Amino acid sequence: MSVLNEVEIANPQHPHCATLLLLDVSGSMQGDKIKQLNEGFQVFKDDLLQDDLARKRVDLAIITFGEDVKVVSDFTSVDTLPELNFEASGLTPMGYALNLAIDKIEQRKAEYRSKGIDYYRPWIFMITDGEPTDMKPSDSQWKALISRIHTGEAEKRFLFFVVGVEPANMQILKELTPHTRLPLKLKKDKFREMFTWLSRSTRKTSTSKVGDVVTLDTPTGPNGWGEIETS
Amino acid sequence: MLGVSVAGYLHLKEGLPCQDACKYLIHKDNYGLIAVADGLGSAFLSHIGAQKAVEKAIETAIKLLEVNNTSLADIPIKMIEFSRYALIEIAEQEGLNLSNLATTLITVAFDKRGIHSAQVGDGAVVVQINGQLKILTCSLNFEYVNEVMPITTEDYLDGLIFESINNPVDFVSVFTDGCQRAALKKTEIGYEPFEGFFRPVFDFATKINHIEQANKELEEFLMSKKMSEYFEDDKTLVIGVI
Repeated sequence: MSVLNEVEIANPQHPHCATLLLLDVSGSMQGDKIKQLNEGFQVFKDDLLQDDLARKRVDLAIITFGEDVKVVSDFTSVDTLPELNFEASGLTPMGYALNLAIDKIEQRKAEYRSKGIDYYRPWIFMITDGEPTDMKPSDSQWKALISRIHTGEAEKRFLFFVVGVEPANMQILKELTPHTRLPLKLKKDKFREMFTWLSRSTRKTSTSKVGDVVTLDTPTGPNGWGEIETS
Repeated sequence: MLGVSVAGYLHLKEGLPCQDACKYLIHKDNYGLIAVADGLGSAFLSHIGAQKAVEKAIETAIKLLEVNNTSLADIPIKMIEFSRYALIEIAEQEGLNLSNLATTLITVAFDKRGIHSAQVGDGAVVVQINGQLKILTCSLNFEYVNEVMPITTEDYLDGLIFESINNPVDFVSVFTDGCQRAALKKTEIGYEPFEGFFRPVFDFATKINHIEQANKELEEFLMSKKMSEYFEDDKTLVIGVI
């Protein structure tokens, strides 16, 4: 028997791919939109569960904002994700939710570092049909938030994606996002397609190796789920 | 010396070639030379880039050792420089972008008096000196796991690391990132060599009777479940008993 069988592994763990979903569950999402959001989320979860590597590497957190801002599921693997059913009510405290999301991402990265876990650049993926009701565009708080997001992107602390669902204020969402990644407007009834894209993209990222450039499928175009508003 | 490069299971599954390469030899019974390269997954000809880089690196070292007064300490950096020139030449001849051949490169030159290594990109060189494990050179500590700097980027010198030990060392081990998380413990302040990995590996290297058989065993080890479970990348491990 070779002495190589005695070798121990220094870091017997997979690199982690933190993904935080930031979901608008305000009153305006009631009806068909919240139903489609729930169905789409289930598609996303089922899709990730089918990928052995993604199951071990994707570290998922979900924050909702509506009646209140709630961490409905803190970072966990998709295997241990609880059953979730989103219900819509209340206003749109988007500003507070975004700050919490960035805090959560920074906190998770610090945990990875303290445990010697390798990780990919985390994603924040926000879906909203409105505009913030807890901050105003002229507020210093809102300006500070925009600066925090843009700095975070520029310093590669996270990747920030925004999807606006009709009748989202795309102009305000445009201010939030970095110029290199404009917000996408969800085409009607395309929640399922968007979540399928998200799971494919997450799977691609979580299986990328050193030196890989992860090319995401384009979500726009005739068969895509999103469109970019240029006006 | 012994060493092999093997394809990771994702590459095997996708039918892709091994993008790691290694070359090593003892020159004139005196000098140990090692070159290890890891072609980037995003470059479609990186397996060729990696292979050409290690070949040119060793060829450069042999030529330099023929020249009187060449300091052994100067050789690893020259190995990297000339490998890069070789890749530029291939890219020009074949009408390719240099980035199509993107690869990392680690180069080592040693004799009984000391050891010198240079590297651009992932992987590391670990030595045992007076019974103690020590990292000689190691990849820059990028925040994200899929970040790397290849020798084919214009600013590759920003990522060039060079170290020397001017004392005899007992063992040297050179490996690519596919082995890195198995061999190095990651702490908040950086990496440190992991005893549980290196003790058996160096022990194995001292008990070799047939080099071909030993390389076969090493290959089996690198492709084993233990080494593949968490690290799906191609793997290279070269070991020298000095």
